[in-house]
Amino acid sequence: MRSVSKKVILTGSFAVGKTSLVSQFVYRKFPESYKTTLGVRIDKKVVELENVKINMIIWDIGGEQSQIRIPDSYYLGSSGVIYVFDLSRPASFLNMSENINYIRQKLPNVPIIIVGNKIDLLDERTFQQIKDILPIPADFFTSALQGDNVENMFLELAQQII
Amino acid sequence: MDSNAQINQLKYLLFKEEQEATQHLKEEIRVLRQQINLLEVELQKYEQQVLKMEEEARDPSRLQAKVNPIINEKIKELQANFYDLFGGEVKTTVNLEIRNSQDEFIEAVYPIIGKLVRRYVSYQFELFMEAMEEQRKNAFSFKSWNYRFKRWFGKGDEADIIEELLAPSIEEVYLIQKDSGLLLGCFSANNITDMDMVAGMFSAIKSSAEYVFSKQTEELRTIEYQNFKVIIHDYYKYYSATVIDGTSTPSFLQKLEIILNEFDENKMPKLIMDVDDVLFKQVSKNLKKSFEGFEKNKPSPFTQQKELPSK
Repeated sequence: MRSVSKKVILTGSFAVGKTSLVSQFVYRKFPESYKTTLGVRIDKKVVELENVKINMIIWDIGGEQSQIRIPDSYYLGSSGVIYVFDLSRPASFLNMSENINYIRQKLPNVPIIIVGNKIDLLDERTFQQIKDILPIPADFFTSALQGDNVENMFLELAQQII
Repeated sequence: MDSNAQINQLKYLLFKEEQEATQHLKEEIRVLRQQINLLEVELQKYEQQVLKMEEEARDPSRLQAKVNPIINEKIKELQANFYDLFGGEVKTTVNLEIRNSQDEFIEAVYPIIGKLVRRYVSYQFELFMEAMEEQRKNAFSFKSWNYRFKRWFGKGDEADIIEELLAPSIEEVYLIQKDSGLLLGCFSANNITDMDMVAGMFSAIKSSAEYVFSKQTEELRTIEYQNFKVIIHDYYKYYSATVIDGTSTPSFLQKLEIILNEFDENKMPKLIMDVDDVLFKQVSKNLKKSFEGFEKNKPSPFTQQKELPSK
């Protein structure tokens, strides 16, 4: 089976659970303690699709309030983007439209998946309320802690990349 | 002939010219009327066309459908003949602008050239120093012979032994795509499992350093870690990261650069569409051939375990 390498970036505000999502996806483990990511952290996971293996090189970028503060070179050559926000912290998705537009300008033809993380912290009613006020609808709602939807989200991105 | 006929005959004789002129005028009027009728028909046609165009102009999608093909055709025509149409003028303008803005041009280029010159001078100076050192060693060739005798009889000179131990060796060579940081090929004296991640980390470090310290006007050349040194060489679409163990000398670096340049020129694919296993195997195989002579088995810092357990 043919194997192709692709760079994927994971971005969003600080403490939204980007590193935990990667950890859950790559190592099937939720980190016990929170350590803020400085700069960028690289991980790798091989995803098998029907006819091709995708060598996903995941750039987990340290959280910033605005995407403008991230070096342009981190975006270069990316084949897919995962934009993560925290469903329990509105400040993490208030500037989402501007940030997504900025990423689209940098990477015009690249699939972007919008992910609302920490769904395990919300009850059903609050979840519906949060969903209604999101500036852009999310593609996936995940829980890095419980592993809900994490695998699906990465697989969907892999499909879109190919 | 009766009187009426005579009068008519007289009239004909008296007004012959006027009658002919009247007849001619009548004929001209008839022709003009015909022309006016034709023009009126034409005018009506044009009026209808104008009305249609006004309607189309009011509907942007219809207007676009009409205008776009014409614009596209003109653009294609312009693209095809751009050089013929404007080549000369553009060339003259650019030449003139450069001539008129010599100061600004030098201002912009100077920092880059300055850095290149500084790097070249410093490199040549190191080579010169090394040549001097070589001369000095040759002058004391007795020591060299003494060392050899001692070695033959089992006694080694400590300084020489240390020098030998510190001699540089190439541990790993990574060829990494510039934009994505993806690994194009690798040569390693050790067994590294996560070469892709190492390549990604090098790219992240390189990007960060260039962004923070020099705003991408200068490139990162080396990374040092314990006794290991990572030498970076930039090429058009990729860069190489060579992990060296020991103390590198200018001649060693020069030799490394020659091999890498030769590899770039003769063995590196010029067009890379996808970074896949076929490309990786091909590049790595060629890289191994080029670097086989440098092999030396020593543990590399990049073989160390990561924080989280491997999958």
